[in-house]
Amino acid sequence: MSKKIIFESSEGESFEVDEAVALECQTIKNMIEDDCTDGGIPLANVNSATLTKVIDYCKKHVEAAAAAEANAGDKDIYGANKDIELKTWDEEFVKVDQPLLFDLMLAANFLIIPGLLDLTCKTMMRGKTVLQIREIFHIKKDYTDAEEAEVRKENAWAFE
Amino acid sequence: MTMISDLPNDLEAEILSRVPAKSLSRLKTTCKRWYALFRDPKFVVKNKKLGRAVRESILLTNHGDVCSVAGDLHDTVVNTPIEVSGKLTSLKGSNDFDFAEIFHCDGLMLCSELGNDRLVVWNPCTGQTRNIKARTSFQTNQTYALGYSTSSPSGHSYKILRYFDYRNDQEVWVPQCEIYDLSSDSWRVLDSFPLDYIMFRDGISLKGDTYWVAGHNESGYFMMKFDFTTERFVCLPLPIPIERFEDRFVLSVVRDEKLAVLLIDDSSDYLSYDRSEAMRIWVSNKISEDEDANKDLSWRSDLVLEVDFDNYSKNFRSFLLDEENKVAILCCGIEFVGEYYTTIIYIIGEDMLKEVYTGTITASRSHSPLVITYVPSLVRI
Repeated sequence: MSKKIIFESSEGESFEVDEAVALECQTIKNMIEDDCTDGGIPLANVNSATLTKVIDYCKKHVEAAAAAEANAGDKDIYGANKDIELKTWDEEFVKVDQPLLFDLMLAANFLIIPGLLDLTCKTMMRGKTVLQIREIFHIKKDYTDAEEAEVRKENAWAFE
Repeated sequence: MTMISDLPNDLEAEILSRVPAKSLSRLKTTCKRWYALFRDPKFVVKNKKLGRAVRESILLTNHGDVCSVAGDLHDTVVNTPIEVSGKLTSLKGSNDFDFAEIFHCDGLMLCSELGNDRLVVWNPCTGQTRNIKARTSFQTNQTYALGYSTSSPSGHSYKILRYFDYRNDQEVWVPQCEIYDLSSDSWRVLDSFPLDYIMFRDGISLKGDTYWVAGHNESGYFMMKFDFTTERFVCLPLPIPIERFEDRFVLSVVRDEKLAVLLIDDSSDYLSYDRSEAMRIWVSNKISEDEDANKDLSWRSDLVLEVDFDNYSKNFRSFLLDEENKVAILCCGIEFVGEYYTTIIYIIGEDMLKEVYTGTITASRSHSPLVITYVPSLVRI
């Protein structure tokens, strides 16, 4: 049986995962290598809801990597091996409300999960207008209207 | 809930660097901090690496309009017609630019004007433009290429190569090359220039260097590379030996890593309008930025096509290869009998020929049309 790692969320809830799944997090990987994971890893800034999602993500990607390895012989002659199924799964995975998406992004940054960080960042900003972005992130507009108009048309050429 | 404004600055940059450049460009008016960040060269380089997004495409039509085309034409789903949307306009109300040529390198477009009066470098993602001053007056019969040196550690240092003929004191036409450095804003003559052969227009940029077909009817033809780092010309093999040049080569780049050559076999029935074209597309091995790695340029023939076009006279100028699906996008200038012109984009594949875009018919033709795909970037010119 594979080695287990225990995470502890900010609420004090324990989550037991396979070591292979925990290794998806660069931060945890370093801790495991340094042999300081006994007695569980407390994650004071990751809540249970977020941690559940993070573990889901890591599990899925470990499984997908294993499956890809098993099928490595099926690669076509161009070496293209686009995992459409995993991409679709990722897209479904980030269909969550804005606060949870934000927490996932912070967790991915803290735990160093490059794939998840990338996914959440891109999803967060996709298709948003300046007004929406300001509202979501509570950014204060520090341009005057005139300045903003000036910045908008500062460039010489644009597509109509 | 944590807000983006509560985050340490480096984390904010970390997040934003993963957002595609095109989206960031739209978001520059969010606040002054973001505006400054999106111009920071370190951030631009990081964004290029992490924010890699969908490619965009542009079309230069036969009468000089530049339009944006939705999506990545390398990856066109065979059944979707091509969506040509916005037309490029000048926001500042300055004189409209009369596009003759566009040379793409690394998300930047080098645009030259009809009559070669003006030369502009344009970033279609940010909309930024930069006028390039002429060393001597720009003249006709010249070729431009945009490239970059890979030796600089702080991002790419862009240069323009200009190749032209001039009449010397003995009234002999002499070829000459000049280099313009965008960092120092100046032209200089390139001394080590051994040209006694013809270099053909429509070079293509890959990993900062430019490739052309060059040669002589006596010596045959070869692939010519200009290395923008060492500023030297290098001769490379073409897929097959070519002795006769009929202007029926088209070069392309596959996904920023391989060269492709389209050869149109024209030998059969040259004057007949109603003819089928034998086309063959060759693809090179992957080219890396590492100089030693591409000494051995090798070619593989990927696609042989017998295509029955309608009865127009066509001018092929550019194509894009979708290697996976074995189809190519082919952009042609079409001349109808009676001096009318238009632009048509075809998708061609084994047993397939589909017209996916037809431009308006015009009475004038500035030049042959061109499709370009590029990865948008925030790089400042």
